[in-house]
Amino acid sequence: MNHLNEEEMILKHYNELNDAALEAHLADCTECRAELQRLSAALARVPQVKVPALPDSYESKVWANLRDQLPAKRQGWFADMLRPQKWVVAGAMALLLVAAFVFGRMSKVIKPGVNDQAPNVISDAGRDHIVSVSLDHHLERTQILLVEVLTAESKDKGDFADKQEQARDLLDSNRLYRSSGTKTAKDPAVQHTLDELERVLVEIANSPQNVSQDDIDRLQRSIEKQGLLFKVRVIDSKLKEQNKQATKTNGNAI
Amino acid sequence: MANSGLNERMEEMEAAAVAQVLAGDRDAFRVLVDAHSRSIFNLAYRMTGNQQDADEVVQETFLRAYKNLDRFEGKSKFSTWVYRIAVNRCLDMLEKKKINGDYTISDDPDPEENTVQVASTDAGPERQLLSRETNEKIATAMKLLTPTERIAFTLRHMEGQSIEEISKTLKVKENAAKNTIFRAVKKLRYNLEPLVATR
Repeated sequence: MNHLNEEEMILKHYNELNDAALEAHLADCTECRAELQRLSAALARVPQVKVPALPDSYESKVWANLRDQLPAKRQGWFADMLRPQKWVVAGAMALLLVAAFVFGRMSKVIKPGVNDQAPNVISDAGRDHIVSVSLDHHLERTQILLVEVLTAESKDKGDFADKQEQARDLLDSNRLYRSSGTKTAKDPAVQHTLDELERVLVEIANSPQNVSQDDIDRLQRSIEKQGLLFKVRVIDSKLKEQNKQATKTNGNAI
Repeated sequence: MANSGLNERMEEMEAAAVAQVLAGDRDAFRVLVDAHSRSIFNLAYRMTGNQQDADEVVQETFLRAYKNLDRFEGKSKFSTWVYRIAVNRCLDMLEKKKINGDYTISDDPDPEENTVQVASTDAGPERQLLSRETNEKIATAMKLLTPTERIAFTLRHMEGQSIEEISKTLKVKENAAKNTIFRAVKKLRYNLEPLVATR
């Protein structure tokens, strides 16, 4: 059997090897045991920083300093959006939009003359529905990119160039959706998320060509700091539900 | 067994405190501060090497946790979530102050100069043999770590967190956490092995 590599040695040093075959090899191999000893000796040189002893009243002190800075708790827009009442209102709004869309379509059939004069006119509700469906696809693609960046490493340089390319594409679409002026795009939660998304996409797209681990770490922190992936997921699932309802209603009408 | 029961009880209490705060009871937040401020201070001190900065990280962490509590999904433990906030505050602090570059090791810690003391439990007589040159080499080796590597390494080497816990704290996949620790250890080993060889 092959000797343990350095990474397996590191796992062994921290008791996280979890591999019976490798453990058995280590027990028999003097060479590997000597190597493990060398690694452990080097790591033993890294100092354990001595943390100053804190007084028993430390927690009280933290609380005393903190308490007056805490604003009275108010539910943020995001949690607010998740409240069931809001979904009822959103559902009602979606139904209204769909009703307007269907009405627009039916009017085309009933009054052919009017439509002949303006064949390319789509009702606001219809336009909103189209934007809403394509925004859903946009957010799906964006989620994939964000997950890829969150798990990226600098050694995958070629892959990262692809991600930058994707970010540029998504950035263009993102700007279009933001400025589309449809009801969906004007929703404050959607606007806010698209704004935050744009900043992160700009960061990804403009990362240096030879991206370093530091650059990737910074991007990952930027995504995590804003809880962006979670926000995008919630908005996307809201849109999906809205679009599903719209399609169902539309299908029934036809 | 008793420990896992206690942990479950703690988690229930914390979940109840979170719900109370979200319902508008600001004082319920104290339960969470009492439970975690000390361990967050320890982490922050190990990262920044400075008591004042560590205190600042503790305050900012809880302030941010309070403001963003409605984003806490309850899928992970509150401790993991608040630790993640603390880690991000430490990273910001390290980048803002470039503490990484000034971190030195001394027998006489000085918070103003970012010097820290090596724990006396770490081989007593050996500690006295840490020459200035040795200290400089250790400090140089620590400087080579990126902030993320330093966080991951501190969590593993000093805080004793498992790779699985670290991946949750840093909100990365387990493999990514593992690779970050591998990179940190390799860098440190490369620089510290000559010290071992000359012992």
